[in-house]
Amino acid sequence: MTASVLLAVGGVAGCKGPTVPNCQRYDALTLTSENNFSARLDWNRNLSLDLPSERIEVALTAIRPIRGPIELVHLVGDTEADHWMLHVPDFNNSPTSLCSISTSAAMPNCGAVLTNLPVAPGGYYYLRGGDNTVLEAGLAFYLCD
Amino acid sequence: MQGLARFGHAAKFHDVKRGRSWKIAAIASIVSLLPLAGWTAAALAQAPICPEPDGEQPVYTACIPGGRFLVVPLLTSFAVDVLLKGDSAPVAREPRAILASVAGSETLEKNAALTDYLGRLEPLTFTRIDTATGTLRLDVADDERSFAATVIAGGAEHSVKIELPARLEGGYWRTPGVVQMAFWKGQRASFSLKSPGGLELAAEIDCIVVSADGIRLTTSDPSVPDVFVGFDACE
Repeated sequence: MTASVLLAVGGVAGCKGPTVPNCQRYDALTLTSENNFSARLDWNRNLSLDLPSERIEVALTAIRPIRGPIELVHLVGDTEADHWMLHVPDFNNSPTSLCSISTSAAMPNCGAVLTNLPVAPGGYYYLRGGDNTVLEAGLAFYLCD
Repeated sequence: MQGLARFGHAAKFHDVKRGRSWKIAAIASIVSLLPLAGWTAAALAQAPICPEPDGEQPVYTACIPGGRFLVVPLLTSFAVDVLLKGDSAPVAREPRAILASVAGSETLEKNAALTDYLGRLEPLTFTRIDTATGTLRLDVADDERSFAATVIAGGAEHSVKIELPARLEGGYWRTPGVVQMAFWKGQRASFSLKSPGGLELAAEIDCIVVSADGIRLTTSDPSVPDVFVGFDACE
């Protein structure tokens, strides 16, 4: 990834000095067959999802064609806190997709939105592929102060 | 086995620097025990390895409009190779080919010295531990460990210097949406940059996070701010 460094160096050449970003990406979990597509996220930050610019990114690798929705469930304790049905587009037949789950009806590209606000990221997540062969998924949170 | 054990060493260094990445050390220790503990340990290791962003610390920030469309194909290609080929052989990436995939031909022509230098480097190899984790390595010939040139980026000339160890080595954690690469102490790249706008930056890189949102470089020295080059909301 030397070239990634160079790309970053090329990009940072345009900046003037260090600042504190308002919004940041927090990579959280990977869900694979090795963990039965389920994992717990310990979250110690005082940040939750409730702003229009905030979102959950669900990155998926799945065998095409997609044959129906993929389900992501969020448990807090023993209670199901959130439950999203991801309608993953078959964009260019790419094996990977990035789904955004946000509060804004304009942003979601897989038809899932955040409804029970605020959403605290911590808890237990699991994925159900339905009729699809999902190879892996990754969760990240894009959060703002 | 030695490499896996050193993965743990690198993670502990993050702990010293940031004082907040305790789980990295735990994850790396788990990864180092994989051959002994087997599948269950692998399942527990499915968490990031780079330090989380600190919401209170300043970072150098910049933006590359459309950078997302350059990086996403790289992440997809890496996902395919790791998932479909990773069990049989390391996944290799040639530095020059990566640059060519994210830069136009005009940029490559303007930066011939850089392009040639990258072409002389060995491929960066990724060896899979499980779906999400693995080790990475780049052996560097003695006469290629230092590069200094003027790089033309964004219509301006920047003085860039890169220092590489004899072996750039570390561990990675990935999903389809991100690749995080943590480098072991003593086996990290350093760079310095002087730009016409007055920016001067020199840093040793201990972690790189490449995602569709941007590229984040974390530095080894706590007094040197991290770098984030975003791809969205460029002004």
